[in-house]
Amino acid sequence: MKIRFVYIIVFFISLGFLFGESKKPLSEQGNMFQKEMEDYLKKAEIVQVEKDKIMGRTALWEITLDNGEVSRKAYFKYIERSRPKIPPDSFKYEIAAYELSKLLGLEIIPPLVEREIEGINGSLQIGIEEFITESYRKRSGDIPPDKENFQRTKETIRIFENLVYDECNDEDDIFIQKKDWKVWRVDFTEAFFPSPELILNCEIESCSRKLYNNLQNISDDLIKAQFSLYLNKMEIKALLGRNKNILKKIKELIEERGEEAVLW
Amino acid sequence: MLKIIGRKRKNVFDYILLVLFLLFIFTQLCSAGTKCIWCGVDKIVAVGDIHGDYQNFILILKGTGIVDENLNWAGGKIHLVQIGDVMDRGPGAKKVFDLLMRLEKEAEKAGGMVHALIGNHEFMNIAGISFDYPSYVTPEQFVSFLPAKYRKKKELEFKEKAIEKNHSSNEINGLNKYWTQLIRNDRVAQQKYVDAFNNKYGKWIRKHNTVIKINKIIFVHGGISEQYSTWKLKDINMHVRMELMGLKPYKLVYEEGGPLWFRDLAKKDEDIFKQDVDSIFTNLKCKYMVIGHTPLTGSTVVSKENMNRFQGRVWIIDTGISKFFGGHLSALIIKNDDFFVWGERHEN
Repeated sequence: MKIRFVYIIVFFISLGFLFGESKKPLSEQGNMFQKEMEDYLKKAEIVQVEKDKIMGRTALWEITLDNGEVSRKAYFKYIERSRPKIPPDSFKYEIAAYELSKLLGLEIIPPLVEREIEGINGSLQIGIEEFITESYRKRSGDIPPDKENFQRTKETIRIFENLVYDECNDEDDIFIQKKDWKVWRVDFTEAFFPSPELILNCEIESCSRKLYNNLQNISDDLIKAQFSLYLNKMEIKALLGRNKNILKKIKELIEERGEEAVLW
Repeated sequence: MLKIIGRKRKNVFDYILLVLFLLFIFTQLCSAGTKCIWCGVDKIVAVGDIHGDYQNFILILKGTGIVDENLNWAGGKIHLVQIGDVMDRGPGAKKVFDLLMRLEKEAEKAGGMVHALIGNHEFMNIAGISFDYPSYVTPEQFVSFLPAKYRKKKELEFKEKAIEKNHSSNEINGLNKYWTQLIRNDRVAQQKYVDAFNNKYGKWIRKHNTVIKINKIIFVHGGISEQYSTWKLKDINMHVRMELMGLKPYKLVYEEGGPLWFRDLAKKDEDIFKQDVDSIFTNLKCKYMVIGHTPLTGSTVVSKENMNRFQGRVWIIDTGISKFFGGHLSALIIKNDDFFVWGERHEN
């Protein structure tokens, strides 16, 4: 009798583990995080749409998502003024920047997907919970626990800003998660200015070996195949031109200062 | 021989066109030197974003004694500042513009002034990008600025389609839905709106200022960021004017940190960003800045406490005047260095 009772208890505990496993929170790091989040953004039910809560040039909508297990805020951008329309501002640039960051193995942009809400096509990006901006951090004097890693992430962001030609050093577009000091760069709706030149006063000083290799692996065909949905021919040509100029700049730095001082 | 005369005529015609074009540019640029600094003004009344709410606008003007019961200027030597964003979200922008245009002349005769500043929604309508945002251009606003002939033609089209479908043609809802469809999808109708709007109201708006200074108080729609605080006010005004005329690419009129869109003074942490504000005010050589653009949130009570930031140096007068934002009526009244708020909780 006692043994049967123990079996029943063990059975229910196992069931608990089984269901507990299926209800685990979304992972926080790495490719899994991106994939899981993209899946969540694509499939989670839209519980609430708030259209006039956040004001601004992109007039984004705050969306509450729920997949039955996790409820999260996400942000929907729908303005579509791709070049040659003026002033250029498009959710397509946001998607292109995110896809490019993934191609380069970077995890600096909060996951986003293309999704239709209320008959309007746009980009839906996961909201970062509990963050401060870099401009706030600088003024409040908060020091990152791992200064070197923090600086390196910012350096990576600067290279990426040059690559996509988006405003450099906009400290309000750099979000820092309070819990773990993870750094995110948001808002690329005005990126991909069709110039092959690098951004003025957006100096590249160093680069990770991984990013340097991945930049070298970017081929014209790959970019054309993957980005022609979001970028026009001029924008793609300029992007490829900037990639070459970034590589040229890094090579010059290596010649000047030595590999150890530039690559990490 | 005839060919040569024809060619000569064509050349002369080209020259006349060129001269006329240059004359147009010259007259437009003359307003680039529009005055933007005033001293010794006894009383200023500043009104925030109207967003098409004509009814609430006239309630404020009457309540503050700017106009009499017949909507004639009664403000004497008062300077009335409307901080921009007359347009979008509500139905009555055209009526507000028409009233401002008339009051501008009446105030001048009485020794007062009307300053209708440029807001981001004025830029968006001049550029035709307001249509990109589903809730901005209302059917009433759309119809009010359409050329009369075109409007009648489209109304007739709607009636004919309604008769074909056996629907009642005088249903206001049906017509509103029809206009909404045109607002969203009809590029030709949108262009007709933009052309007609620019022809009269856009031209008038472009002659106005983006930023002014009265008695050491800066008035501007969004705010002045550190980047632009080192510019002369007349240069900011001239650049915006040239961008709105298409003589320069859009920059100041669309930048996040530009005078039409800047929100930091209304939103940023007051303790953390105090030094930035100090620096902006030092550069601008001003004591106060009055801004709109960012509606006050958190409290619906219009009061002095809710409307000022950074120890009373920054005043936010976008209290959500239009019904779209709750209809919280207000005006900021400034006599010498004293600030009073006219509004739901009267203090003056």
